Amino acid sequence: MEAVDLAHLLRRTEYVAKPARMSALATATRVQAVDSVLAVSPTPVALPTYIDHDISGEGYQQWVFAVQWWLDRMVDSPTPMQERMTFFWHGHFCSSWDKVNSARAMMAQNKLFRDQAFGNFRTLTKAMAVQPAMLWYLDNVENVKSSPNQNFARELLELFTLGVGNYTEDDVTAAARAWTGHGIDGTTENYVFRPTQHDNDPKTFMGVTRNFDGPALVDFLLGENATTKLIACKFLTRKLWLYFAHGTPSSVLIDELAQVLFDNDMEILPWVRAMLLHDEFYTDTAKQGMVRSPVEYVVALMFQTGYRGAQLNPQWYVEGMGQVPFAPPNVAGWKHNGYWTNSSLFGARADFARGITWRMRQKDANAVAEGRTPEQAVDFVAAMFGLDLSATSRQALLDYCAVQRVNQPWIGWWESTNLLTMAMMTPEMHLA
Amino acid sequence: MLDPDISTHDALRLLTVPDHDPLRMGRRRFLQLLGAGAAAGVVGGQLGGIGDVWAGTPVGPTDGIVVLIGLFGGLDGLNMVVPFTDANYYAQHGSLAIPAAQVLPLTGQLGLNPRLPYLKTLYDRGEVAIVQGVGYADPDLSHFTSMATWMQGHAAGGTPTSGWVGRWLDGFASDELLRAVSVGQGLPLHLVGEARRGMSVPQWGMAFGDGSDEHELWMYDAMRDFASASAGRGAWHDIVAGTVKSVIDVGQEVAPVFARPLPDNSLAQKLTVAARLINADLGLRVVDTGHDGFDTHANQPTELNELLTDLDAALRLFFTTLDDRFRSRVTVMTYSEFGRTSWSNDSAGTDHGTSNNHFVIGAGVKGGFYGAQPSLAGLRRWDRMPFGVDFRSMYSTVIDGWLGGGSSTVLGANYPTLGFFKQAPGVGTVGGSPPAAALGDWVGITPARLYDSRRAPRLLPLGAGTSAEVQALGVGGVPASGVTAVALNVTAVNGTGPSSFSVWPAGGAKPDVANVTLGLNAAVAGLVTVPVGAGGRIEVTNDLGAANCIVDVVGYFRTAAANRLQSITPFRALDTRNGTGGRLGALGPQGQYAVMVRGVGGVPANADSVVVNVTAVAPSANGHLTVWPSGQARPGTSTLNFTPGVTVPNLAFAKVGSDGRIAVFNVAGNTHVVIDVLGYFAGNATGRFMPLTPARLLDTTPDTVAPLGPASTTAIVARGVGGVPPTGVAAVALSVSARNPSAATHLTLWPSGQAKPNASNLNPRKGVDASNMAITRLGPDGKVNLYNLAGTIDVVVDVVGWFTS
Repeated sequence: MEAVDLAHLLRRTEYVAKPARMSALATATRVQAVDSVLAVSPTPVALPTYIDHDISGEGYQQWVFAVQWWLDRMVDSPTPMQERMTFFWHGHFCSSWDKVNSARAMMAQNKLFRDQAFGNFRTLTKAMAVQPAMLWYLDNVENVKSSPNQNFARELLELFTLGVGNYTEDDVTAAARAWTGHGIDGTTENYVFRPTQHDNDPKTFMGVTRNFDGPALVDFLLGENATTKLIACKFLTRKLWLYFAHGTPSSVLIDELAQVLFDNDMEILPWVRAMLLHDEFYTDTAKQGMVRSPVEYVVALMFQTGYRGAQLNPQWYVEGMGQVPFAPPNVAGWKHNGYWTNSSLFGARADFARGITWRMRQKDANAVAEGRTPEQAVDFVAAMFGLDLSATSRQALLDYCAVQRVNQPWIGWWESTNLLTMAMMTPEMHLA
Repeated sequence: MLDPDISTHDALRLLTVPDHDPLRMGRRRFLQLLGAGAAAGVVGGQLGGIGDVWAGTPVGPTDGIVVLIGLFGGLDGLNMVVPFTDANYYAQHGSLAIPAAQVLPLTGQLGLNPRLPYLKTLYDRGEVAIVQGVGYADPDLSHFTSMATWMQGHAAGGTPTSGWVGRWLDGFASDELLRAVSVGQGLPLHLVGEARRGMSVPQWGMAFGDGSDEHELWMYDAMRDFASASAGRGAWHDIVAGTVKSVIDVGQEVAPVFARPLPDNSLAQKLTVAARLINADLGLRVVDTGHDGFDTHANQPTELNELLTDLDAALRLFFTTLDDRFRSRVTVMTYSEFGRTSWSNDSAGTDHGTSNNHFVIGAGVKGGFYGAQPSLAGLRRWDRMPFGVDFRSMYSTVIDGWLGGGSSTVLGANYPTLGFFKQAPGVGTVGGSPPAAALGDWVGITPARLYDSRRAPRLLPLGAGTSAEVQALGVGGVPASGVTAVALNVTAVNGTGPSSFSVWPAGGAKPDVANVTLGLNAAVAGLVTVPVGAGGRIEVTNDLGAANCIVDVVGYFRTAAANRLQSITPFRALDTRNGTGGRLGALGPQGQYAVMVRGVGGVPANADSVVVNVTAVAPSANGHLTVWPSGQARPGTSTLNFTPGVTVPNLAFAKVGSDGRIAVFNVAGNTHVVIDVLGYFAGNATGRFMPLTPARLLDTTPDTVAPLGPASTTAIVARGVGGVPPTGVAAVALSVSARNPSAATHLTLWPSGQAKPNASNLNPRKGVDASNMAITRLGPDGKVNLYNLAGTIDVVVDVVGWFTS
């Protein structure tokens, strides 16, 4: 596998092309490299005790801890692809800390997404549907036979499986009735099924009349009914491709990869593997096709600088950048590329880069320009951040050094300082 | 379900969306907040991402601008507009009531809280409408619901999904994205429309890109260049490069809005930023500000006094910061979620009420009273005042009278106008001649030290962006009243790097002028003439670096007749290098010499003070010179500071001793001394000093303007510009800054049409910025000449005052 292809694969699946991974996989074939990326340990990752239960009055601190812990994991995990997929499911089956307001529920959902990141999509859907985080977030807890609430049922069809236009209002009504009675015990705050609040009458869903219960409806939707199952496969494949590869997949490509998910009865691993092995994933369109999301940008800078969450307090900055972990903007989750690129959101990235710069320059450390020619200084700082600079970007940095040196006869404090900030704000640093 | 006793702070937070999160507002959020989750089956309409558009088209000459001031927590309107003849008020408000003797009377029955003297001034000008009895039917007294109701401002009431300003914005064409901003954190509901929304502006400045240090500017230039050419790496690479450039462009565009100093007080800061935003002419029509803390359930007298003092100061700052060209287009309106009870409670406070008093302020406002103060008669402990004016009538009056109309669409019904505008936006001129108090005659005094940051209580240098307030009246021989401006010698010493001091009246807007620039020298002094601000104080700010600051007063201008400046063609009174003035040879350590200035070179025998440029030439050590009236005890002040080998000048106003001499003292080392006399003050002379807000006459620092060349003379127009009138001007006081000198040089200023005198005003070293004040007569064509001896140099010249002829 060519080094540029390997670097691209690692950037997309492991946030950055870490030098250690690049050398370990230097002679690997594409299949070997992809299998290495996907070699996730079957042992579940334990949650830190501070965030696996609710502590009254400390919800905010728990959220801060959870964000820092998760970002640290993205940087340090031996298989970062597991966190990439966990975040993918977080942005797909959205729940928000703001509304759920429970560390225990949000982290249980996070653990589910991680543990089953490469499991079976149908199983995952049924599992997340009965967790308190989702029951609260989409009001299924309120959905009872006497007063059905369609919120969850609608999003199940619209945003989680089929997409707009692939179901009718009657299907939403039927799905809502099927999901009645799935609630939360007021004392234990655990999931509980209340048969008395469940609608046991026959419902007509996708033309089939049956006494559907919620989980059974998911089995029908994503298993028994081949039509809806295939629609869901295409819907999900498109989302997956947009998250990992680029924004303009052809329908032929989507159909091809969707068939993998369909043929493997909704197993996630072979589906993701097929995407990463596909030639289209290694085209220039794909290699140039993604802007790093705020979380990916933060994680990349954390890796390159060696700082961790507790030092950088990224939770202060990610909101300004437009992406708060555990708090998607709404049930539709985040989008890509152009969603992140405006001056308000990038101002927060620059603010973050500047903050890291001050930290790096404490006690005059990282004097990257000291004792170097402009060319050497620019190459040095580019290497620090793993940047393969374009001629345009490199020239901009060289021009800066030139201006600085013309105006000051010595290589001053500012040159090193500003070079660091500029490196973190090069377009190369923002591209995935 | 929302807690009905939710605090104002939390209500505000919940009614505010992070401005950079375009998707969070919407029906869902409000249903969620109000606990109406059962109906929340609808995904809120998604608004587009926030664009990069900061500047729309500039505001038209007849477009009205509205500035909102939210007084959050529920303002006690009865203590703002006091019914000081109503026995019920005194009975019910009890110890909280403002005694009749203290109110600032507006009518025979109503008066302003004594903490609002500036508002009273505006009222007396006929620019304040007071709307009384403002409220609405069936209020529930919760901060959240009440604030939501005010912000929503719609006839329908109920769960709000948008606010009144936002719906007014909805009426704009799609390409006019930015018309309303909120100064502060996040975007409050009233600026969110169904289709469009305002923008939030942080009161402290942008996250990045608004720096002004040259090292930052060089970095910005290079970062812009990421987008100078396509990198050839696909569309997203170039889009990101363009986005980085736009961060810088936006930051630089709005940087002046956040220029330091900004007041510490939150509301004053927001209103300063609001005025600057309007001055920047970005196209804004609505600027929203607010201040929390009016929920005075307890300890009301102390808290309300503080809040109203802040409010009055903030209003003063707003109107003094606002450019005159916008005065006739700006209307300020207050709002608050509710009023307070007429009865005081058991904790020296008042509780949530209903009807309230509000203010509409501006040059287009027809001053007076609207609505009516509800009767307090018969109100029992828990009764609330009835309301007489629906708050939406205030909105309809403003929308139709000041924002171009459409109130019935925006508000969902026709609300009767209150008629508090006397004219349309942009009608009539505001501003004009400077107040009479700016006139002044000169009184020279023996110099006295007013401030020294090296001494207690500060004991610290002034860091970048920090200010010192210095008492200038009633101290050091300056009287406590009758003074319009003081002449100060300001010294920057022991800098950790280049520093730049500005001096201006306390409470006023900081001018964009550096008075004292400290380069690599150990100390630099500069003469500053500055009007005295609030409380008899002046303010000194260091804009960069960190340096200690010393302020000596050398004289003052006063309104009563005294001495006036007579400027003369400069002559050299003392030059110890050649014996001019009777002294040959440098002054040694602790050496002093008194030079005759009366009766020589055109200075008459009755001269009280002389205006001199004192230069230390080739000193051998670090030290300073002190100039003072001969025959008196030498004061502990300094006139200029020097370092070994560096020639340094400074302008000085020196009172002449009874023997007709001024004395000069050298503290350390050996130094030659040159004294050029530029003018004198005398009782029968013409020449009243008229201080000005500094205005720029010359600036060669932009890339598009060539610097001054070697042995070159530049003529500067100094009459009929920058506040200097076209006639009746004898001389101008200029602040001269030299930047980036390529060689050691000196600058000389003199009246055009005359031979260049043998004198210098400024002696910059190669590569070291310098500044000094100069006073010079004008030539017959109203110009002054500026000569540069050697090398190239950028020069900034500001006029800071003028003298009558």
